[in-house]
Amino acid sequence: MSETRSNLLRGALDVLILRALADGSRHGYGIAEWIETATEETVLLEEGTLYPALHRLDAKGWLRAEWGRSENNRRAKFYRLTPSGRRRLQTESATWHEYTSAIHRALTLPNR
Amino acid sequence: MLSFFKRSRGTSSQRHTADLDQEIAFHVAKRAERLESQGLSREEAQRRALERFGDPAQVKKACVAERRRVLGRERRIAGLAGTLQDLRFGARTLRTNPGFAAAVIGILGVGIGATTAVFGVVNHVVLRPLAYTEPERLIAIEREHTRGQKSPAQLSPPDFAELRDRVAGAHVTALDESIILPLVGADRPIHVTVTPTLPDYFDVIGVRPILGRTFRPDEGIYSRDDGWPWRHIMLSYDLWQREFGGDEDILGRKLSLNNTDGEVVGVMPPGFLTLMPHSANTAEATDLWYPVQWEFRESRPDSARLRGLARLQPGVDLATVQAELDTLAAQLEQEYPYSQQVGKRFRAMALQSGVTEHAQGTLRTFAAGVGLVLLIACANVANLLLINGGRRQRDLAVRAALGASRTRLVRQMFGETAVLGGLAAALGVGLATTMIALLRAYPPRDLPRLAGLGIDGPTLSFAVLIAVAAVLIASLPPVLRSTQVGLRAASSRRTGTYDRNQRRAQGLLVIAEVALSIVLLAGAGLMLRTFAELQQVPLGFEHANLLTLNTTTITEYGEHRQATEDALIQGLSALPGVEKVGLGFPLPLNGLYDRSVPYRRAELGDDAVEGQVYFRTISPGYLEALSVDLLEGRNLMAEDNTREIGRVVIDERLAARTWPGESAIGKRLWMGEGFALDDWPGDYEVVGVVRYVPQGDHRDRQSTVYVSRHLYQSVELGVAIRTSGDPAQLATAARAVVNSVDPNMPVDVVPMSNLIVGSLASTRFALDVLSGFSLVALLLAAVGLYAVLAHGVRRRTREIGIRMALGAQAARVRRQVVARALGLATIGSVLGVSIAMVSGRMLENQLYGVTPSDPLTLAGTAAAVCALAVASSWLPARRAASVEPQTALRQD
Repeated sequence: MSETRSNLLRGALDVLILRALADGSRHGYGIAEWIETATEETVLLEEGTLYPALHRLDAKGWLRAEWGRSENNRRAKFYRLTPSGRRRLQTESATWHEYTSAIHRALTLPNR
Repeated sequence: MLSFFKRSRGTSSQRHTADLDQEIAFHVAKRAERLESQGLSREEAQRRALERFGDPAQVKKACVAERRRVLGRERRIAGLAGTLQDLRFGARTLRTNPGFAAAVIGILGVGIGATTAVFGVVNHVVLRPLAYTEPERLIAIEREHTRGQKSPAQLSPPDFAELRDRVAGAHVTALDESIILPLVGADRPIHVTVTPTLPDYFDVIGVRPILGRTFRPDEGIYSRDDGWPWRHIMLSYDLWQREFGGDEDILGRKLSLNNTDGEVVGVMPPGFLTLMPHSANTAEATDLWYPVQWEFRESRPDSARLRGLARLQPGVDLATVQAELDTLAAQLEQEYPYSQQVGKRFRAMALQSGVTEHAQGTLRTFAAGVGLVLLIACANVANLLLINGGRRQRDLAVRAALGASRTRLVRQMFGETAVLGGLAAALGVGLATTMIALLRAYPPRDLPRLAGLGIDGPTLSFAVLIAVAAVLIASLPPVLRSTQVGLRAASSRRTGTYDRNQRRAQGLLVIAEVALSIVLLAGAGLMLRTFAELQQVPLGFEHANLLTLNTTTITEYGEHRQATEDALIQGLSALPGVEKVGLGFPLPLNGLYDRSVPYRRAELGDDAVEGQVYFRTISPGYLEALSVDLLEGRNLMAEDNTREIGRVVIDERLAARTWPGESAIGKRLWMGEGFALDDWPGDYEVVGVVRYVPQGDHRDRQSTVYVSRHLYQSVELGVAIRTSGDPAQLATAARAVVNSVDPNMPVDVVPMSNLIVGSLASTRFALDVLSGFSLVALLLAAVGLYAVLAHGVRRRTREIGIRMALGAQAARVRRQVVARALGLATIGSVLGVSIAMVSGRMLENQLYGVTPSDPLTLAGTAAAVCALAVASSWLPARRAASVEPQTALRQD
């Protein structure tokens, strides 16, 4: 596992969380799992970092947390997007697309 | 936006922490399950799951921190939005009560405006550093005689030479007396103000010319036989622009200054001023400088003409140099017999304070005056706010009952006052701009460096600061009171009796206003008395129907110049409407010139000096043209002065002081070196005694000795022309006569009455400013008193009604209102008079013929204020007396 794979930019983590919640509510572990599979295990979190991010997004009002029951009926805290969180996801992902493709273009320029 | 801020978000942070523990436990368990399902042992899965999660304690801390960070930032934004809301709310409330708003803005605006204008002047004149290089290292050096005589502040040439060579802690240079000379070489002959300097003057102050160079060390060397000393001259920017159209080819050109050519070596930058202490009497707006130096030690030690200026060496302070000067003065007493006789001390002062010292008294008075006006304005506004707040009692009470917090209410009150303060500040800056424009249009003579005065950055910031301070001061009492009201008034509905606390608060404010305005009014009264006294000062000559003419001649000394003078007198005497013409220099009240010399009774020993006298060279007929009464002996005649005999006319004061109880006629008077007196025997016979004429200004007390122009013909000519009609109408004809005598003579013609106004100008200025301030203060105090009384009557309508229903007389009710006014005014007066007796001492050196605690002025002031108090109580008293018991009882 190389350094880069675990060193995730904070902004990137935020937008991944928002995306993870786009299809419905999840608990923290669910979000971590979603990120793992969605990035084909490229992004491996130190999973603790997920929670400060969740608190940050909650404080900003982009998501909301409620206690619920997990698949095997255990008490778990579920997060879901608020309308403003959904709007935020749209603008954020647009920015990320632009950004990553720009970086990609720059790095793949033929050497001279 | 607002809904976004207001939505409650999640739960308290303690609950968050408790939740987190569960959440983390769940997460790790889930991960461990998953790892176990991938074939790890239970223990191994547990360990790996924890490892992947990281330190839970760290995570929890980070969660709390994140939440705080986000919420903290938003609270700040919300606070700003709240402030805007407060301001909007304030503006809205004020619009519902425009009269109240206008009164507050007007009163505060006047206070802020006056304060700002005075600050602008003080900053510009006193506080702003001099526009020289490292001005804090520049000092002025004056001399003081230590043996009880009024001494000239200037250095004698030998003194200067010793200072220059022997003071180690500073580089000493000097300026000579400013003079006015005729300049030919521009389009027309003009008078220019000239200041001779040591060659290194510009290098010492560290200002470079914008064109050309400064003087070289070997320039300006001259001895008596060389004629006039100017070979090189420096022009002011203003002269260069005005007379030479800013022509850059001016460098190297020869200009004829008093018929002697000087080569232009440079032009100083725009706005450059020659700044020296007021006592140096150096022309601030000099047109032209030239270098001068001679064998200073060969000049007489009793002449005093060099104005000392020095730059402290790096790392040396003023005290060190002063110590050096004291040592040197002691040494000089041993070396120079003259010094031994008079006793001598050198005084070094920072140039900045030297320049501004004289103006500081006046300006301090203004600053104090304006501070009082501002305080009165604040008291008044506080009063208005109190009254207005009282009216809104119920409004506030209702809002408090609806759950508005105490902070919220206070903030809204502040918001309202902030809007008022902002508008008042804008009005104040406008007023200050007008006041400063007025000051620039009529500049008082003795304020230095007024040029360039305007509303600048520091002044604007000051206005804002003052506005903030004023608003805080003014709104503090009402805010404090209103919140109390807000908390308790909803339930207690006592509107019938006038609230005692409010009554006391308002009473105190009115007393303060009255006291403060008495202080100001007393100051103005003292200045008024001074001005009246000064106008009563006998000038010793008749100033009505007197035209003065100042010119300079470039004709050669001796017969030629005599011919010019005779032609002038003849030509002017021949004009219709002219009764008498006399020539002399300088004329009385003629500003710039001092021309004093030391004197003693001739029989006293060699180095004795009894004091200083003005030295005036006059033609026969000069004293007659001025109508100066001859008291004893005779006036001067043409043949009275030759190189062998000197005869003089002296004034009554000198005669009485020098020869008390006997006639001065036939007595002999010695005069020391002054202007070209050096070649003369020194002893003069008194042939006449005339009325005392103050030469400098109305406050002058120095005596004058008149000598014939045969003894010494100055380059400058002053002519006194006694006319039968309006002197101003003769100005053009007089000018034409001068032109026909010599077209190269520049000439200034002014009626004497204008010079008299000019001589009183600085007193007049102080009087006008103080009167203005005290008028405003008085008006504010009257308005304040009126508002309080009117409000009191309105609040007590019911009570008054009951009393009248019970049989109280209308007259009695009226008397009570007036009595309250008079009571407040009396307490205020007593307080004000006691303050004025102390504060009047600030004015002391500007007063004349009246003491700071003059009982008549103080009593008059107090009486005037009490009368005004009664007057302002008239309307409220009448309203109180006309209360109808029926309506009053039905009210509310």
